Amino acid sequence: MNVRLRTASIGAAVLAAAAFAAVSHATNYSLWVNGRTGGGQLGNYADFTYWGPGTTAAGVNKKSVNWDGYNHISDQNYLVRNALDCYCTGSNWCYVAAHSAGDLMMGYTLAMYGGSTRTISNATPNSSGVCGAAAGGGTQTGWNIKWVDIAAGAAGGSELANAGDWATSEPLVSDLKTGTARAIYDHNNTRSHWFYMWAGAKGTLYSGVLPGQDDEVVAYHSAGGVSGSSGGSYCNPSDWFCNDLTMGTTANEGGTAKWSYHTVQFRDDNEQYNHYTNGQWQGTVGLVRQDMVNYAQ
Amino acid sequence: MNIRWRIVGPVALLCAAAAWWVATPAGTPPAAALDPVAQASVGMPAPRDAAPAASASRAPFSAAGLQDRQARLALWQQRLQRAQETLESYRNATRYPFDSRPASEHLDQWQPHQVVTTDAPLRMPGTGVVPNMHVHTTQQRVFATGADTVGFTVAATDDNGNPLPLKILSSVSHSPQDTGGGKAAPLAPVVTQPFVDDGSLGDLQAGDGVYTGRLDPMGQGFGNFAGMIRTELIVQSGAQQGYVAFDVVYSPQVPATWTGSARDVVRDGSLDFILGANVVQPGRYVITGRVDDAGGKPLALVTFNDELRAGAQQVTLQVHGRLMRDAQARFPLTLHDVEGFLLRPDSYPDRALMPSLDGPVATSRPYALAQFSGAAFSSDETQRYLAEYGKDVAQAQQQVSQLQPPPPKP
Repeated sequence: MNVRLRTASIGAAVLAAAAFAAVSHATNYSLWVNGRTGGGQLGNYADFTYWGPGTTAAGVNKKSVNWDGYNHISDQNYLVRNALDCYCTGSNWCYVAAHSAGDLMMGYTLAMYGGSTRTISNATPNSSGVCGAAAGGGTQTGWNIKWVDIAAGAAGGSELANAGDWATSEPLVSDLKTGTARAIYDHNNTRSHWFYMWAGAKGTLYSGVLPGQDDEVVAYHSAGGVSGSSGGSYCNPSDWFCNDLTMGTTANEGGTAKWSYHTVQFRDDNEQYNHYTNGQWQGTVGLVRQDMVNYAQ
Repeated sequence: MNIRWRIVGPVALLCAAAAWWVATPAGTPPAAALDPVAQASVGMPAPRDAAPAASASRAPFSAAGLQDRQARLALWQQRLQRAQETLESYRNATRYPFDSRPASEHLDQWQPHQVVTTDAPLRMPGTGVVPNMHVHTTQQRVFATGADTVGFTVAATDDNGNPLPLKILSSVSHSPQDTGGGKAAPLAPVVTQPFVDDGSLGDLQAGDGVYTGRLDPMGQGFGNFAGMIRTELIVQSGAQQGYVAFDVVYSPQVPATWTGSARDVVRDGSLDFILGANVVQPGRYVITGRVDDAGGKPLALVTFNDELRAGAQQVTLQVHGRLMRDAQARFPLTLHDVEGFLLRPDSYPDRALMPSLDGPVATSRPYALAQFSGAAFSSDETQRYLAEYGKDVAQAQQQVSQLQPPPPKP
């Protein structure tokens, strides 16, 4: 073999090796899905306005999946699907964290579209948050999601939406009525992804309206992933006159089950955490952020 | 330089770089190194070494270094535990396909048309709570299509559930939605919605204090409207007024109907119930049915979630072979209470309902259980997940092994 041919062969091998490395280089991402009110720029995955300082650690390669937190879940769902297509296909995998109505949004996404055909994307979004197809193209069934952390989940709705305490003309508020939120999709259908639930109990202002323990926006029946077509009253073990929200996946006191693949990771026995991030990663979001730092690697 | 070295040198460097790139696990610094809050929460000094665990052959650690190493070991042990649990759970769950699930996994879905109930303080929005005064409501359904009607009830009770006198001061059905964002205003009327306690309009018992109303969207002028219909009431018990709202998501057009045909076949080791449908509006349909075994024991929640074209179509609802085998199902099986809707992505309402098939829909032939496969479900998706979760376990295991202190010398 002459030198030129050997050079060309080795060069080709190097290029092939580099190409293989590039294709097989898997990246993990941490996606954060906001709740009601929103605030971040739609499609801008670097805008953490809703949560807190963008410099704060919040899991590996964190991305903010912004939706407007005002319109219906179904209207806004494309923004979440765009993000999942971008970062959670091909060799890339995602951890997901969501707050409040972001729980309803993620549950809806998985129940409705979790088995749909997705285009494998290149993790390079345009200004609208849409990524192009990956080199080599291809499709896959569903997304690559390792698990989901939920702070103050509102997938079970809030009695504040029922009672007219929130702006009744706001589209999202009608989705957040307890009966509606629980009827929109089958909450057990997470495509076998675990939802780790953090439930706060530092609510005082609406304690007469929100049943059992609450974080001032959602009650334990929602934040703890309690199943059923309606809400209910669930409390900390220190309250003798109200059924306990149990830790983990076991049925609650009184026998009601949690949604499948939902586990209570944190119950606020000391009533220290409310619903609000305050733009500083606070409330139960702070606890979820810590979990993402620890486990979303 | 010899030409051979001019080639081999860069090649070796590139290969080494590529190998490192592929082999290096995702970031492994301890939580404290990443996160000042985490650092504070565990009372730890900043780590001296943010690199992955050093080998046991290095020089002895300082007290702070040892403490840091122990903290990292604890963290990786926790990561390992979660990774193992995630892998095991996924492996166990995906023995059956996602569209053929154990009934026990969907307990709150087993009864179709579940009535939505609320029990709340009797109050106006933004006001305080008056003790011992509640308003109890029921709503027959949340979604409605075509000629569907929806029943509501409202009653006032005390803390013990005893009825209190109630007056309906106003009751109106309308669409209150904000139509911002350039959307056209909905074609929704504003109508007075009667609520009665006289035994008419579906009211179960006259004079019991439970008032009944029935929304009939088609009959009440909502026939050209698609969206949310809110029925708002102002009620009064004694001197206390309260606000009640029932929301119904309505689509006027039925997107597909059932032909009434139903059969069952054994295919690929599973049992398929095949239902005929006439599809008017093509698109993604989400259809759910329940399957009991011969003893009436709930066996499986079966789902179809896929595209259907217009025209005569067949909808397959599969009971997975392994699921039947594991449950020791007794034949014949009965498919019952099938519900479905056309899913409209990125719009509101996001669905239009097919007519539901209430009660028994199809009964299978009396198969022998041995006719079905005991093989676990497998697909590209599940293989992808199992491989990734397995990789996570291996990586965490490796980190734990590296961080664990060496065994004492004999």
